[in-house]
Amino acid sequence: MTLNNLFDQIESVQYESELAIANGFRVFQRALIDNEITRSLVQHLQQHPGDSRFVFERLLTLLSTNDQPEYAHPSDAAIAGYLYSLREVDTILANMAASRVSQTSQLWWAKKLARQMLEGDISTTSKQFSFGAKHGPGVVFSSQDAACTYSVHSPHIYFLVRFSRVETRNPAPKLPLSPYRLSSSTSTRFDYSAEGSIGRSLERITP
Amino acid sequence: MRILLPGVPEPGGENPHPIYARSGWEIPLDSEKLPESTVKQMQLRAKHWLDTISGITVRSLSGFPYNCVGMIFACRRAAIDIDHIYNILREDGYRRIDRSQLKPGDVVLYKDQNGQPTHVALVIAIERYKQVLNIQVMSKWGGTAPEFVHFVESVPDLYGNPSEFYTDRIEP
Repeated sequence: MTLNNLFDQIESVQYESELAIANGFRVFQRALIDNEITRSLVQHLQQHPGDSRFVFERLLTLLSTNDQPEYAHPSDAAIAGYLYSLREVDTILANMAASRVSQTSQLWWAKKLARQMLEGDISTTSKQFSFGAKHGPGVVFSSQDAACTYSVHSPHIYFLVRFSRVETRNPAPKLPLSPYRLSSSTSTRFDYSAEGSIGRSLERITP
Repeated sequence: MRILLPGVPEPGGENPHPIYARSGWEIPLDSEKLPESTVKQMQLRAKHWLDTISGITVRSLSGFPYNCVGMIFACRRAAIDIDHIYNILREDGYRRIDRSQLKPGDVVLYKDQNGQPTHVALVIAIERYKQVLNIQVMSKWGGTAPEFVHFVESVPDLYGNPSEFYTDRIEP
């Protein structure tokens, strides 16, 4: 299926109707993740990472298209679908999109998803990885919410995480499941592969 | 708190007013009000579901921003997250009953395959035909879809199955 076909489907009445019946954000997220069209788009983007840019541009186009601004945004579900798909494949673009979505009025589910991404997901919040000045093998990097140890002799970057909530949808293969949800007083240490979006964003702080 | 008939005042103001359960407990609401849908949007959603699930009828095409929980427990004044449903049932004095004990005015709670609540509906009629019990309910499908009258099993897959049944009747 081509990207344009996926755009047509994700902006269809069917997609919108099936997501609009959610009675809570948890239910909406499940509907979004389990939806065949959403899954097809994510799969397409995983196979064609370069198309993420077109999804991002499409999302921005929809954001600015609301003929009746006093009513609910007609593309709320589609925007949420694009946002979720971007989150699965390109966290940097997803962050940029989430920032724009969170500032757009008359959105409901898309805005909730954007806020979750911006506030609660370490893997998609780049500012939480702007570490302090101390770089070097084995040195702890401090930030507002997290600390990180980095070793040039290791293929992994080590994070010491202190978060009230950790939810990541793109775990590295060696990431154990247990740190997904942590209490506010809990800290843990886990491997995170240097590959992927997180790895790319951290290259800038590599000593 | 529960409304069975139309004629409820329109919601007003930009932010929802506080809504209380019978115990006085304030039901948690979003700080923002659910945006209102246009009639055209509501008609499209209604048509989609009428074409998809047989035996359902549109009860109301209202675009006012409330959902299934708001319809039953908040006078159609707000969209209330389904995750608050157990607190609302408790604070409103509901008790769990068996399916066979259902009467008009009782509440059906739907749960998904993971056992999580997804939807609530209000029983409006019960017909027994030979050994079959036909339970007709009314419910609003999401915050921006219409109210439907439907049989208790005739719901979108997302809602799962009618799993728990509650009443606030004094008598058994």
